[in-house]
Amino acid sequence: MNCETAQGLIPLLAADELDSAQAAALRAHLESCSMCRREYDEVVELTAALSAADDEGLRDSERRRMQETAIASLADPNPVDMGGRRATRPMPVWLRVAAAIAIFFLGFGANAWLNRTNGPELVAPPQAQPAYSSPLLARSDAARLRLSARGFQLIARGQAALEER
Amino acid sequence: MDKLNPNAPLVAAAVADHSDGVFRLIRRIVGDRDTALDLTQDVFVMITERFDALRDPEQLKAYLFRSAFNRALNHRRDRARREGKTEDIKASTYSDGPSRPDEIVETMESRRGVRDAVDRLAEKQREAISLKFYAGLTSREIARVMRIAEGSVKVHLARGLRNLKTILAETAERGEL
Repeated sequence: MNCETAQGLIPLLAADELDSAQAAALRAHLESCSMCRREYDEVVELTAALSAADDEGLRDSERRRMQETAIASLADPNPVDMGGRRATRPMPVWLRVAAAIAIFFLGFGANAWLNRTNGPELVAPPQAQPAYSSPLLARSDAARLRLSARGFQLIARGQAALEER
Repeated sequence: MDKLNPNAPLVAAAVADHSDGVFRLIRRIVGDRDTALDLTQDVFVMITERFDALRDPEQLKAYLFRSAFNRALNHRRDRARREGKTEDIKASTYSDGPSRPDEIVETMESRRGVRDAVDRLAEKQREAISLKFYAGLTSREIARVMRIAEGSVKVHLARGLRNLKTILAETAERGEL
């Protein structure tokens, strides 16, 4: 192994991240090369400084409190199935607001569309309109037509009865 | 509500198994013990929303440490912003640094000096170094946390250590001036 290769691998040996074959080859080089050996010693010192703990870790009481707080945060009014997933999840606030906005605009749009279909552009041109202008008149006219039809039916039946006699 | 939540034992086990590592990682990044305690608690409260992660030990560990690293880093950034980036200034000038080159070792032993030097690494290198030496994860575990190949983790570790050494040497030299 030459020095260039060794220099590339030294940080990984110091970090204990080389496989055994590479580590053995590098160690053999370090035995014979004082410059690489010095570099290795410095990197090992650096990794030791990085790994040194600041002070004591978590105390038992702190760990217990963490467990209690985390478990308490599990409390949820929604049922939890045995697969560990909530059967139903509360709808997030942003989703509720989005849904309300969507419903509002849907209603607004539907109203505008309905108004558009009844608007002047879809109304039949004046010449196609019947002579009467009032819907009330139109309704009575239709009733008159129905009555006339009924009258014609009665007349036809009367004529048929007379012919039978 | 007297009935125990079926996920409670999983949460308790997650805290028992990983709280020390998560706390150590956060503590080394943020420095302050009380803040580290709060952030560690936040990480374990967040995990209660991730039932899928709770059931897969590898996924759980990766999720916890990713979350811990990001939270700690965000906290440091927010604090630096609030304090007018005084931390960055300290890291780059290091006016009270060592006065002789042979005091590089002392700089390495100074936790603050090493932490500041780690902050000046490129993002991926800093993450790999923090997870390796602050949290004690293996390169395979770091690969899961960082969502990259294990080989890439080793590259970031090697480059990170080399650059860290250069930064500390430069810091020592600046202290000479």
